[in-house]
Formats: sequence, structure tokens, C-alpha cells
Amino acid sequence: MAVRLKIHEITKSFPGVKALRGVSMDVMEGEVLAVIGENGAGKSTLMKILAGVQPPDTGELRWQDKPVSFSNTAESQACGISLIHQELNLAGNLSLAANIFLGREPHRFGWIDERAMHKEAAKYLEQVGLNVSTKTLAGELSIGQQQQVEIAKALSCDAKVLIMDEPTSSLSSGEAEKLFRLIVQLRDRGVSVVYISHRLGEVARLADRVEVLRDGANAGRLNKQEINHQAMVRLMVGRELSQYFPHQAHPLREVRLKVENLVVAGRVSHPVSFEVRGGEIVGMAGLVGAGRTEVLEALLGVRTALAGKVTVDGKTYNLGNPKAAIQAGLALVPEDRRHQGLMTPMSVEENLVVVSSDQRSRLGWLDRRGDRAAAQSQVEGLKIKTPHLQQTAAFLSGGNQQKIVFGKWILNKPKVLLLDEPTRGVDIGAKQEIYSLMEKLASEGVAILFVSSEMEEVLGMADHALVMHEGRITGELSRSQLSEEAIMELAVGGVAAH
Amino acid sequence: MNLKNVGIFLLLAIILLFTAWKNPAFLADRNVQSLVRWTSLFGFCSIGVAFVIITGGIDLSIGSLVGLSGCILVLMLNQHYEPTDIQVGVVAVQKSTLREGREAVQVVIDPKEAVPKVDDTFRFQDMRGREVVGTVYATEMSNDQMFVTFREPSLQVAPQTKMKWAKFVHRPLPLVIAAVMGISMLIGLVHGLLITKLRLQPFVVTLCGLLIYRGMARVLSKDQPLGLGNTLDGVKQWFRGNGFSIPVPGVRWISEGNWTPYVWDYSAKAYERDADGRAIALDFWQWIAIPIPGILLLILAVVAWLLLTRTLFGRYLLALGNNQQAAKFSGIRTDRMVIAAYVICSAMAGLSGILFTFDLNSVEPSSTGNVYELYAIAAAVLGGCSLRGGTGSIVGVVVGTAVMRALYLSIEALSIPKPYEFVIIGLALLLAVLADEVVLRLVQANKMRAQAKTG
Repeated sequence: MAVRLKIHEITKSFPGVKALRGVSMDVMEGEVLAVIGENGAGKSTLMKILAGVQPPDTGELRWQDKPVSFSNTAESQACGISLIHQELNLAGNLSLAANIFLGREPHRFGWIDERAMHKEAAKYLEQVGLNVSTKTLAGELSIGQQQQVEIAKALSCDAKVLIMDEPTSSLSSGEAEKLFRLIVQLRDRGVSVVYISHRLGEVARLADRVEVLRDGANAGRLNKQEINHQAMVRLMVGRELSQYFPHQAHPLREVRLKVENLVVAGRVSHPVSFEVRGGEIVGMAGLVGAGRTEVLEALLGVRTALAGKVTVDGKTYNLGNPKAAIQAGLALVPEDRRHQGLMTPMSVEENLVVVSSDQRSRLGWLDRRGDRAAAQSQVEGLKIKTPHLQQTAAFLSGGNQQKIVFGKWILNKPKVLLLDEPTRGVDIGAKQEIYSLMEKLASEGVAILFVSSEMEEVLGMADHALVMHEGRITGELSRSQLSEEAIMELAVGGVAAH
Repeated sequence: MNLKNVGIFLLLAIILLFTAWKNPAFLADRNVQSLVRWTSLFGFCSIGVAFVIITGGIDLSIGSLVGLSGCILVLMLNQHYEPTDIQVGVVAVQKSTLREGREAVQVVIDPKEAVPKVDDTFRFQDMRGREVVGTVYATEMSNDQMFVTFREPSLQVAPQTKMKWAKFVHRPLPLVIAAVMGISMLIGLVHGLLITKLRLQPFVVTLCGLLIYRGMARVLSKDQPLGLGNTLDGVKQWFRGNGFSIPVPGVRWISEGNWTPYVWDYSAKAYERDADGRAIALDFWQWIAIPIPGILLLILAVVAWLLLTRTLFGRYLLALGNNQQAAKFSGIRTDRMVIAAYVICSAMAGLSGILFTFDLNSVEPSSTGNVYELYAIAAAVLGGCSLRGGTGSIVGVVVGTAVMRALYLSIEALSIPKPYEFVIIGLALLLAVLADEVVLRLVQANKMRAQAKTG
């Protein structure tokens, strides 16, 4: 097989962080090359350089053995490289067809040929298995569906090197299967697929070769025969990781969160009821679009609840008012941390104290020293990697940003912790720490409800699981009943066998 | 943020020094005080709009609200004369002086006939037989007799003349000011509600406000200029006066010394000499009195700064300006805070209107306040508030206002023809914002280079 793209000694630095320190690798024609590594290892940065989003500080790229450099994404796309971002890049107010052909609209004499555009777009949507009209506005789709549109867009560019950054992070297993089949098809057609993922199970399944990055440099590579979970983790982390899911059974306490007949505007049209006890970790599984995020958002009050009663520790609070929910003891780590979880241009300290400043303040006056001490305690307690407290939150890696969101809520001493995809886009090391954190909070008596599309996570961490399908809870599984098949069956609409 | 403030301060210094180089009299005491006075009057608007800009919104109605509140102030004061049928006899006539040093006429009357107040008028026939009106400037009681000083300098009053008394009436000033402020805050509340509950765009809402309030001002005043006349002297005197003094470096050297430490005689083009033929030395530090509006602005700026940097409100406001969704997810009551920001902005505009009216003594309903919102927004942007929201510095905003005013005064001092005024100010603003961006990028690039070396 010939080398299609050669990456040679690339370095790149940002304020506060040295992202890449001389990384090299080859991308062959017609292969699936997985690039793995902890967050902060430099994978996203490398991919952005390949896609022309940013120039490297030093180093060289060679396409078919000719040196190339890209000053913008159009140039790299023209060359044949397409990048599907981890953080999605669609224009929410434009239709799917418009998004797919953004910048390359088929036109006649300056007028956009709408019919041709929608027809072509429909073809690509079909290829990725998204059954939605091309006229739908991108903003109306869930994150999982938006990701599928991004892939369709890349396909429409006739990419020779297709880079996918955590493509399945918001896809259900059914949708992921479709994607894997598509990837295999593309590879057999001669396309090079560069696959970045934290889900080592997928990597082991798909990849022809694996490149491992650690702390901005090459940490090793594996050929197909050498690929296995342990080897990958060892190269990524530099040490052995055992006890992946630190789950222990806790003595169950009284019911802390009681949801009765909750109906949410939008996806959850059937009344939903369930309970979570103190010390319990309940997982919420289901396909993308099943309504799990909507339930959590309604509990916090950022989404309108049409009906229902929610009590925390026996006290009911008013739905639709986030402050009331927080004062009642709720906390939510949201799915989209960049837009819902953090104020990214603000500092680490400011983000950590934003919820709990209230309690430390007197008559509206900030307790700045108290705030700083509290922020410092979280940075130390959660091992948040930041040069100092005033560092802009945007510059931290995904895993550390997620820790900030956790820390923000921990400072408020929540009674019920709601988590929406808590380890999405988070590296192995930080994932472990988040699981340990969940364990610790549960042992302290916090009731934890987490939404996850990662089967392993649900199987590993949950004391019992609720499964949702199209706006209703189709079943509840105790730990002994938990299995991938059982969850899948409920997630696609089946009824739980008793 | 601190670097930005230094930058804008430098800009101010450059403008002032450049103008002073071409025209040293520019930095005379009087002009410095004028700069402070105007900066203060406009500063209220700038600080108000800064709060709105921090939330990511904008307020285009400020100028019209300044005009409208000025009109409402004058109209609500409802100054008018109530003529009475009371005839008062003049017991005696004598000369007196007004506070400004002018000569005035003082009559003595019997307090049992009438007890007039300041601003009342008396109508009578003077010694030449003409109908004359005298306005009361001051009154004094002594030995069962009332001494009334008239404002008009050369009244020809004869003793034994009968004067017809007309009383001057107006609503109490504190009540009127409270009403004007109340109306302004109500307008701000309406803005805030439309923007948060009905999700209308701030640009559109306040643009409509700009038109509506200007129109209302013209309707209420029947499109006539309104004035305070000679009334409310006490308040106006105080307001146009000065407060405590502060030492200012170097200005006397520049203005009186023509950039040297000795007094310069501009007409003779040589140093002034005293009786012994020596040059007269000037102190480097000179005490210059701060005009009262400056002191008011200082108080407001300190309060605004404390609010923004040391309270929950300020912290939450910056957060919601940064990312409203994330702020909501953190339990911040974003709607309430946005409404509060608009109320503050409109309140400041209303207050500004009142102060401008005191200073200028009149209100032109069709033009007072015209374009003031643009000055305010420009000042806020110069001062570091991004129109995207989430950042702002009160110090920067005040210095930004000073820069805008300094530009205006410089243009006047350098005798640049009026038509060029807008061009120069617009260009200066553009350059300032460009320079800001460029500096920001240079700083970032330097940081990255430093990191690359050490990392």
C-alpha cells in the first residue's frame, strides 16, 4: 500500500500549552488508521493542522510524496482531506442541504440550484443512514443527528482522507453500527479513514493500524495483530490501568429524588416517573433522541415541563426555575459543556465559583478570598491541570474542562447530581477520575442519575438502569439484569421481560 | 484588561498633548475644567450603556431619552406666574449689589402688605411713565421692613409707587426629579421586559425607543424649546460651580508658560518679567478645582465599579454576557439581570438629561441629546466593552468618554472647520479600535513565542 499522506515532525504551541512536540506518522491509502491518546495528547490539534484550520509551527506534510501546506480549510478540502469535528460545526439556521453544500453550492449563472442541491444532499444523507428531510434546519436536530450530517458533508466533498474526531460520541449503538459499515465501505473503496476515539472497543474492531500519542509526542504504534485493549491503554497512559470501573455497592438510603408523571415539552410526551435513592447511581440509557437529556433539563428547569411533580428529600420545588431547582439541591453537568457547562472565555476560578458564590456572599457582596480558596480546593481535589487559577477555561483540555463543571457543582454540595454524557470527549485518565468521583459522591449519600450512550459505562457504573425510548421509560433493569442485549431491546421499544 | 486601560489613557494623553503643542492655551485651567465638566455630563450615559453592552445588548434610545427627560423636567416643574390683585406700596428706594458684582435696585416695602419670594415679579409704572416688570432677586427682613432686591439693573422706581405682585410658582424640585427618574426607569423596565420576555432584539426595541421618545419630547413641548429661565438659581449656581481641588501636573507650564517653567507673554512673544526684571516661575503641580459634575461622576463611577467587580450582581452580569445559556444552567436569573441592566441604562440617561438641562439652562426637544447614544457606545467600546458582551471596565469607559470629549475640544482649539468634526472623530475611533486589536494579537503572539521557547 502506498503512503497517501506523510506527517513529519509537526510542532504546535498555544498560550499556556505545548500541544505537539514533533509528531510523525504515515496515512496509507485504503486503511483505517486509529489515532488514540489521552486528551491533551494532541490528537485534535494534529487533525486541525491536517484540515488547514491552523498552520503548524514547524514540520512538514507530504501528499503523495509532494510537500503541501494549507492556509485554510478550503485548500485542505481541495487536496482531499475532510475533517469531521468533535465539536460540531453546522449552521443551525440553515437547512441540511445548505449545510452539506456550504461554500460549494451547485449554481447556474449565480443562482443556487436548490433542486439539485437537495437531491444530491438526500443521496448523502441516505448513505449515512439519516432519515430526515433535507429541508430540515440543522439546529432542529439532536447532536447525534448533526454528527451524521457532518459525515454526509464530508462524503460529498469526495474526501480521500476522512478524519473523524470522536464520531460515535453521540451516536447510539444502532447508528454506530451503520457508521462502521460505512467506514469499511469507504476503506475498501481506497479512502483513508483516520479515526480518533476514546472507545477502544471500536478501535480494536475497526482499525488496521493504531498510532498512539501521549503529551504531544508519538508514544508508539500497533499493527493489526498487536491491537488489543491492554496494549493500547499501556501506550496511552504509560502505565497499567486496572479496575476500570470503580464500582461498589453502597448501602441504599432513603429516596432523594422522586419524579412523578413528568411531561416535558418536545420529546417526552408520556409521563415519566422514577426514584433515585441516596448513594445510588442510576444510569439512563437509550437511543439518541429518546428524551433523556430533555428529562434532565426539565428537572433543572431550563426546559419547560408541561406537567409533573418533583421532590428532593421530600420537598417539592417549582419546575421551570433553575434557581429553585439548585436551591432544592439539584445539579446538572450538561451534555454540551462548551455552550451549556462553562463560560469559556472566563477564568478557571470564575467558572468554578459561579454557582456557589451566592452562599459565600454577604448582602450581594462577593467574598473574593473565599471564592479563591474554594476554587483552589477544587483544582487540587479534582487534579485539574491548569497553570494557574486565572487561566482562561477555553485553553484547557476537554477532560479538565469537564472537571471544572463537576467542581462547580461540588462546591454547592448537591443532594442530587444529574450527569448528561459525563465522559464524552474525555480521555482515559480523566474518565477514571470522573468515575471515582461519582463513586465518592455516591458513598457520601448523593443520588446520582447519569445519561450515557456508552454501553460499557452504563454496565460498569450503574446500580440500576432506566431505559428510554421515544419519550417514555420502557423499562427498569436492576444490576443483575443489566446486559447489553437487555438494554438494547428496551431502547428500541421492546417491553422488559419480567 | 489593565493593559487596555493603559492604552486608552495613553491615547487621551496623546490627544491632549498634541493639541497643546499646537495651541498651548488649550490646557488652561478653564479648558481643563471644561473637559472634566463635559466628560462628566456624558459620562453618566456611557456608564449606563456599559451595563447593557456587558449583557451583549445595546441601547440606541439614550440620546432621545436625554432630550425627553429634559423636557419632562421643565414641563413638570410647571413654572408659571400667578398674578394677584395685591398692590404693594414702595416705602423707599436704594442701591444694592448682586452677587456677581453688578449694581442693582432695592426697594423697601411693608411686609404686612406682601411677603414676596425670589423669582416673584412686580409690575409698576416707572418714573418715565412706562409699564415695567421687576423680578425679585433677593429678599431680606429687618426692623419690621422688607428689603427686596430686583434683578434688573436700571429700574427707575419712585417711592410711593404702587406695584402689582405676581407670584412665581413651581413644583418642588426634588419631586420633579424623582418623577423624571421614575419615568426613565420605567422606560428601562419596558425595554428589559420586551427583550427578555418577548425575546425582541435590543437593537430593534431601542431603535423604536429612539424614535418614540424623540417624538414624545416634541409632542409634549409642542416642538418649542423649553427653558428654566432665571429660576432655580441656587441649584444651577451650585451645579455650575466647583468642588474640591486636586493637584494636576504640568498643565500650567504648558498653558501659561508655553511649555516652559516660566510665565510667557503670548502677545509680546517673550517671558513676562516682574518688577525686578526676573522671569516668573510656575509651579509644576497646580491645584485645579474639579467642577461639581465631575464629583458626581466620580461618585457614580466608584459605585458602578464596586457593583461590577465586587458584587454577585456584577459577577453574574459578566457571566451572562459571556454565555447566557451556561449562565442559566448555573442557576443565574438571567432575565432579571438583563432587565436590571436596561433599567440602569435608562435611569442614567434620564439623570443625564436632568443635568444637561441644569447646565445648559434649556432643552431643545428636537435636538437635545441627538446622537448621544453613539458617543456613549463609542466611549464604552474604547473603554474595553466588547459589543459581544461579557467584558467591561468602568475606568476604561470613563477614560473613553474623556477621549471623545477631548477630541471635540481639540478640534475646536485647533480651529479645524466644523465639517471635519465627524470625519476626524470617526477615524480616530476606528484607529483606536484597530490599534486595540493589533496590540492584542501582538501580545498573544509574543506569549506563544515565549511558551514555545520554554515548553
